[in-house]
Amino acid sequence: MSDPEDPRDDTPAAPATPPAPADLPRPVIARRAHYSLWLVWLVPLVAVVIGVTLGARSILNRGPTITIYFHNAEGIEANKTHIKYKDVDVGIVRRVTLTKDHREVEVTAEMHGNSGIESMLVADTRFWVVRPRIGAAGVSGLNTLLSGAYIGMDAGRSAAEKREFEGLDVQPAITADVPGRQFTLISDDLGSLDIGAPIYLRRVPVGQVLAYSMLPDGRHIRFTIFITAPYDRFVTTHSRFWHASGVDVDLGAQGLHVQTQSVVSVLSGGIAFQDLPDPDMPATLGPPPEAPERTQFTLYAQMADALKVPDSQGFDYRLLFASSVRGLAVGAPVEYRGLPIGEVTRIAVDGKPDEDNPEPKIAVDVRVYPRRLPTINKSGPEDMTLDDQKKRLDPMIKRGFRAQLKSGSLLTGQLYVSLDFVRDAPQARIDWQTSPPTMPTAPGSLDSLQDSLASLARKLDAVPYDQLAGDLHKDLAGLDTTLRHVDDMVQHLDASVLPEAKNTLADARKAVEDLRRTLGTVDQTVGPQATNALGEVAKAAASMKALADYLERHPESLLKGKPEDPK
Amino acid sequence: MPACDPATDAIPACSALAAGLWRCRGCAAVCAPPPEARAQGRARCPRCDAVIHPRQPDSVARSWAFLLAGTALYLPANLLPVTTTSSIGGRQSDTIFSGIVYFWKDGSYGLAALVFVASIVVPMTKLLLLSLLLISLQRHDRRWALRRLAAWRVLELIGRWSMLDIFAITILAALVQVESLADLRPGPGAMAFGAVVVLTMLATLAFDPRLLFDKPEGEVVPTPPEFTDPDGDAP
Repeated sequence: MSDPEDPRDDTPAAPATPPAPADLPRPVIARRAHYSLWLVWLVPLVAVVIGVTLGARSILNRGPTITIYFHNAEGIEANKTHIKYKDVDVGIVRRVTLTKDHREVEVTAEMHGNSGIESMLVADTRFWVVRPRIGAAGVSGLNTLLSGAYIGMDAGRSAAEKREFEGLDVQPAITADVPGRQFTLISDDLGSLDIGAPIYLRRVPVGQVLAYSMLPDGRHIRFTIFITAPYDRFVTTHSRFWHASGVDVDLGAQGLHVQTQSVVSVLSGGIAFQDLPDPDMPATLGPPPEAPERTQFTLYAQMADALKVPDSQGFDYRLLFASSVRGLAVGAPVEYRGLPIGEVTRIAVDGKPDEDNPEPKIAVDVRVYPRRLPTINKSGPEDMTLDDQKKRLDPMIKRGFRAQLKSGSLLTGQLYVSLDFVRDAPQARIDWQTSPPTMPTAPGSLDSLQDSLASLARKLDAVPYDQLAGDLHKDLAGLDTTLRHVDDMVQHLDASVLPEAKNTLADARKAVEDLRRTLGTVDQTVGPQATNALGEVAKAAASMKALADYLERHPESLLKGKPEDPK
Repeated sequence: MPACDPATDAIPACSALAAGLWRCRGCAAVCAPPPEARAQGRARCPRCDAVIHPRQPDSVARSWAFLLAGTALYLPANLLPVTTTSSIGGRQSDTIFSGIVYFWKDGSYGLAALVFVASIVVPMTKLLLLSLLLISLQRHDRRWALRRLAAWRVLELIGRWSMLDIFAITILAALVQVESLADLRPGPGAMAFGAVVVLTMLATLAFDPRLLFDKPEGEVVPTPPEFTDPDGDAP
């Protein structure tokens, strides 16, 4: 509609003889327009405002740029992979490159600026790639099968802002917004635990293993665990943790011991914990104080280890045994009349064999915890010093208090150290000069068993074997005569009874033959007659049938009689 | 081009305006406005009742205004996403340029070139050419008047074709609405781009090409020698 006015249109209007202006039509006078030029300038003004707004919004929307390092970029694509926090889109991956040393993948992502994202990009914020995952705890991330992977994010609580992150290989089991507390466990062994392994309090699952790592010394494993609220308040300074992994089969001096937690923990391992009542603290004082976040605990291998009364004060003693210690292990119990009061800490040979010491004994170091012995009157052996021990033990030794090796189980041959009073023990005393003090020992149950066997052997030796053999020979000769008598009797039987039996059998055969002959006669006489009789019966039946047929066709013959045959 | 013979004409100037004639833009009627209309610079066409002016009023200023508005929106139009596609594979926002790159990488070189020309070259050319024309007008530079006129015609001709992208987005947005499976929505860039196209068209419309030949004092443009021949124009 904006037809450009061609200047050449004017040519006919201005020919050689242009029409006088008076001949042309006169335009109508229009009223003056209230038009001001500045209104036009509103247009670019508005445009600039819109443009600046759009640009500013897009720039403001463009939140901070962060860098995440992953071990591999499986499923991550530039401009396609989003970063999600609680499934809300908070950013998008802009670039995926290798790091300079080609060891990791550097993922540069641009966060959206409208969600207050800066406060979430802090030191302990974690990122991981969400992929379909199937584990013992269940199946997750199935939606990423169709939509492709995305980067999950868990906002940390730290105040220190950060822009470079180390991506996790696996999705964390617990996100930071779950209420609860983290604790640290130190263990010698990973067991069958894994990330996500459950933690039980009286068999109620109350938490999970978040992570584990080997300590720099290479001997201990550090677990980071998470106990969800409200159970976290049950973790106190007196809590003890132990492996509840799988089936715990303990074959020790106390016999076979099988213990399991729940079925899941049997399959995938777990940790259990419980408060250990403090013997020093009466229950009236109330529950022990809650453990602060990230308190470090020891993770015991078994429930029994974990729930042992804390051994505050131990005394070391050395026991020298001349006999074999096969079956004795470090950690084997030391018992006083069946009550465990200590354990074996070391087993070694006492010195090198030389002229002074031609038969080196076995030195078994034990640690005894006197406080383990519960006493009836509450004034137990508290804070005993070595002198107290000396005062207490010396008279006991005088009365025959000795250490012995005893077999805990005949089945397994496990040994334990028994402290008890031995009758008729030779006089001995504790050598307090050595370190640790050497306590006198007595031959253990195995040794006495050997002694008994020896004495039994000696008694057996005294048995008059030659005379016994002579008697036996005589007896055997008597037996021989007896057997011969029996033989004679059997021969006699053979001679008298057998002919009679033979005759009887012949008679029986004859009787059977007679019977067969009689039966043959019956067959010959009765058979043909019976056949004839049956033939007559058949004929009669046929006649009856013919009559019946005839009557059926000509029932009138019953009244009229049979009509004349029209021959 | 005014073709008048000053020797045979009483009117000292050879342009219609100088001859006191106005032309209606709507129906191309030529009329002679009375003095009061001339004083007002505004009247109504005796034939079609459209408002007529001796020249487009404030042509340069209006043209500049629209042109600047278009330029202001040109940046967001190219930097902001024109489409936002969400499908099962996730959401994706595309600017005009990323779309072109996508087509090029995809092997559709022809399509990429077409979109590039229609959506980037044409609007840019329009903005630049019109700015040059306006600057030259303001500097009373009348060299190459004919070529500049040709340039202006090209501007008007190609102007509408840069709407290609907007058309494509409109059709796609209407077609691709498979609820949860796939969804295409125009982004803020599309609005800006549409505005750029419309504003540049308005700027071309406000531009009065006759100004290319007017002298500020109303002087006649020196006629080229080939048009001075009176015999050539005689009927």
